[in-house]
Amino acid sequence: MSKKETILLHLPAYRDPELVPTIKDALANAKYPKRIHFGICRQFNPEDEFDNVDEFRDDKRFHIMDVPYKEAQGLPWARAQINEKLLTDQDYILQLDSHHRFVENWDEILIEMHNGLEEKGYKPILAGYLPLYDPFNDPAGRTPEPWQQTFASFYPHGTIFIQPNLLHGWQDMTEPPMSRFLSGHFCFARSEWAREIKHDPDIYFSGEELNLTVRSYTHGYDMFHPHKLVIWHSTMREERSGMLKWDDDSRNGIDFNRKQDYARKKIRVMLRTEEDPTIDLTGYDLGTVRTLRDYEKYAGIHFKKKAIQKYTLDHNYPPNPYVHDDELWERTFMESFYYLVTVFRQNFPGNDYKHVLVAFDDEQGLSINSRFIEGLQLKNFIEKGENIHYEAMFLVDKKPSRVVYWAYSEERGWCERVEHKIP
Amino acid sequence: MAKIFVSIASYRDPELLPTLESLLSNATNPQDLIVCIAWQHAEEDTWDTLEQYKDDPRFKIIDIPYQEAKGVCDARHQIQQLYNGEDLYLQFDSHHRFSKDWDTTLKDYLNFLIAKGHKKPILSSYLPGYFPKNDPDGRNIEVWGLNIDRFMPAGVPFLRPYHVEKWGDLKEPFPTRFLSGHFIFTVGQFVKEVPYDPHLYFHGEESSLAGRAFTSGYDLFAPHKPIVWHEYTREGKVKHWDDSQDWADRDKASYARFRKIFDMDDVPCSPCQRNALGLFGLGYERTLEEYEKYAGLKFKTRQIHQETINYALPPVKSDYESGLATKHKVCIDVYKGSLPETDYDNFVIALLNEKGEDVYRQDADSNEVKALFSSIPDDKFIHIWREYESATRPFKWRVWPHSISKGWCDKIENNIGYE
Repeated sequence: MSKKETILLHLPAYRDPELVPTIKDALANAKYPKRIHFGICRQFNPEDEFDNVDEFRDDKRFHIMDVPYKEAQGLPWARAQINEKLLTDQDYILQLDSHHRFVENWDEILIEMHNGLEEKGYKPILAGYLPLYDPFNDPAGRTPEPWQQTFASFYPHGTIFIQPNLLHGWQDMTEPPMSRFLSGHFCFARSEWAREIKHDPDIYFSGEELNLTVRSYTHGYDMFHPHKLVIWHSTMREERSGMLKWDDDSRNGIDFNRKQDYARKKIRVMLRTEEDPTIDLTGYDLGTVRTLRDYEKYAGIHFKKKAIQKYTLDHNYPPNPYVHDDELWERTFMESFYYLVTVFRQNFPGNDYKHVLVAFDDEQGLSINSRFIEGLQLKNFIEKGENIHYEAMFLVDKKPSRVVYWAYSEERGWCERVEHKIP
Repeated sequence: MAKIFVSIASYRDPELLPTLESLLSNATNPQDLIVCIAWQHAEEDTWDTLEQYKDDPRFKIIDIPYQEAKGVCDARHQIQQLYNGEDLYLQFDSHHRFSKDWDTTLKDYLNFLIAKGHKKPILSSYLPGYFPKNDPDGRNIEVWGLNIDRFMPAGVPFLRPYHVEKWGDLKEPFPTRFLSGHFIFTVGQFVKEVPYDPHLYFHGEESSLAGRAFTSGYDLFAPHKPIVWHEYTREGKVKHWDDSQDWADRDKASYARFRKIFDMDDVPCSPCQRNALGLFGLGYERTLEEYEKYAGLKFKTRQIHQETINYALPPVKSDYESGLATKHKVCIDVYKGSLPETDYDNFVIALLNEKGEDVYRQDADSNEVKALFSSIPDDKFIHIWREYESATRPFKWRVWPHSISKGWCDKIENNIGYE
């Protein structure tokens, strides 16, 4: 940090009692607190009082935008306000939420990590699903190991459920490993990144990270997991129950689902899995340094097929093994299995079922996929005699060789059972 | 870019230089090759001078006067001592041809398998053939596999190539039971995890390597397209066993070692024996039983599974135990000097158990007898092949020739060597 480089902490805060402790902890643990700037989009309710930041208002390092919470338009919108209105000439951006704790000299550690990668020719973004701290039991409650962002599943609407997992092997690492995904709540990069990859206010919460990930990658950025503990994060959901953005939205009658549907459609158009000429991606489209296929090959993800490689499922660090030939590459993905399930009422005449198991097994009888039929579906089955009928779809390594329908009753235990061979 | 460590064991081979030329000129990234040659050569040979590569930083040449050569396993073992952490490992002989961008294609195949979750894949097969005097026109545009033909009496599987039918329909590398010494492409760590055993001579190299690799966690595959070709005929070329006086002894020691690796002899402590073999023994990620069930073999009883006999792809899918067949295939070598007559019309041919009882008999009629003598006129022996299924191992063979003029001649008998 010889050049007196500055960092903007990007903090979108929505009625957050942790905002002020986060600011104070960041300053107390920075090696060079004078070079730490704050860009805060403070979405507040005047009655709350816990997020009062008046003590910082005369400090030139603080750039605060106050927004009455009823005028707030979602997280990507708040992030866009910070990057477009509060980011000025700082060298780096540290994109966070507003509830964090920091390790001593975190600023120096992040810049060294970043510049080490830059010297190797990368255009790095350090990104992580941060380990947790507990606001009511800190520092004792801090998770003692770093995490990584991993693929969990495809949502039916085409985006990806990303989940945290241990950053395996981190104790032996001397530099950050590559990552498939960005994290909304922790990204550290040159501030050019924040100017180039703008947050899309239409992407209303879900899919935000995937959107930024694919756009950043195709613009030539390289994603890494920090391999050391630098910052902690709190989910804050229990503590703030009833005060979250979506809680306020539902009270205010905003159609959360309709906005979400539009956001998902926009992501599908961006990922080229759907065409819709009414959707305008201007300013928020893919980059041209790399192609979408480059990202798919890097990450081992096939958006159109909603499929992934075993290598990705096993949480191996990217890049995935590169398969040059497209036809062969297509064949690296786990197969999408489809089966039309029909459970006939006449085969299950009981009226005492607690649930009916639908299980797909391999030839050794090991389960590949299963689900329980219960609730309304079971009620209609028993009372109205409606057959259980639906399309089962999932990713498989090997095709199931049989499907088993098996009813369970509290009194009789596992009872009626029907098995079909799958050709 | 990923570096490839290339292992070439060459023995006085006129094809060495054309092979190197084909290797380098057809690679997409020739700069990423580290070529290590065990150069077993004779001063008087002019065809395999490596002058043009001597100062090339990509080349590592081990200069071995042919009189000091100890066989291909030893040569490959010496080459592996120069491995220096390269990402990938390619092994072949010294008589090959390569298709354009062979390196990109092979890396694609390997990465395809890794992406599908095979942590340590190996690509290996008996390659289709080419003919130096008619190349590239004579290349076999086919895909070959390798399978067990029989257990040799000493216990080592005898492997042979086969043509893969409808290979054009194949879309990806296919699983295989065995490795070929003349073509292996895998991750670099293979050199450290399954190092070449200098104690093996020739037979046993390939099947021991497959079992050791599989038990060390490697998944075995063969390329589904012709990428590299191999010369099989080696017409008029000197081989190590032509120059070496003691190859028969070496073979015997090699067989014994093979049986040790695969726990085929009854020994008081097979785990101790396995430990004593160290890195040259089986691996510890999978068991021998797992390999046997994968490959459809049972080493101790020298049995072959019906699926393996039928060339089905591994692993065995039907029941393992009940599918095991005991097939004995014996080659009876009779010295022509002990067959002085010119008018033989019939041979009684029998295989006997340890008590001297017949366990199998199939005589040779006059047509077969005629064919036996005429097949290789220069050979000092006739070779009679007999094959049958039984749980009992034959111990001895008996040939009882009949001549038109002299009637029944002397019986000829010999033990079948199991060592």
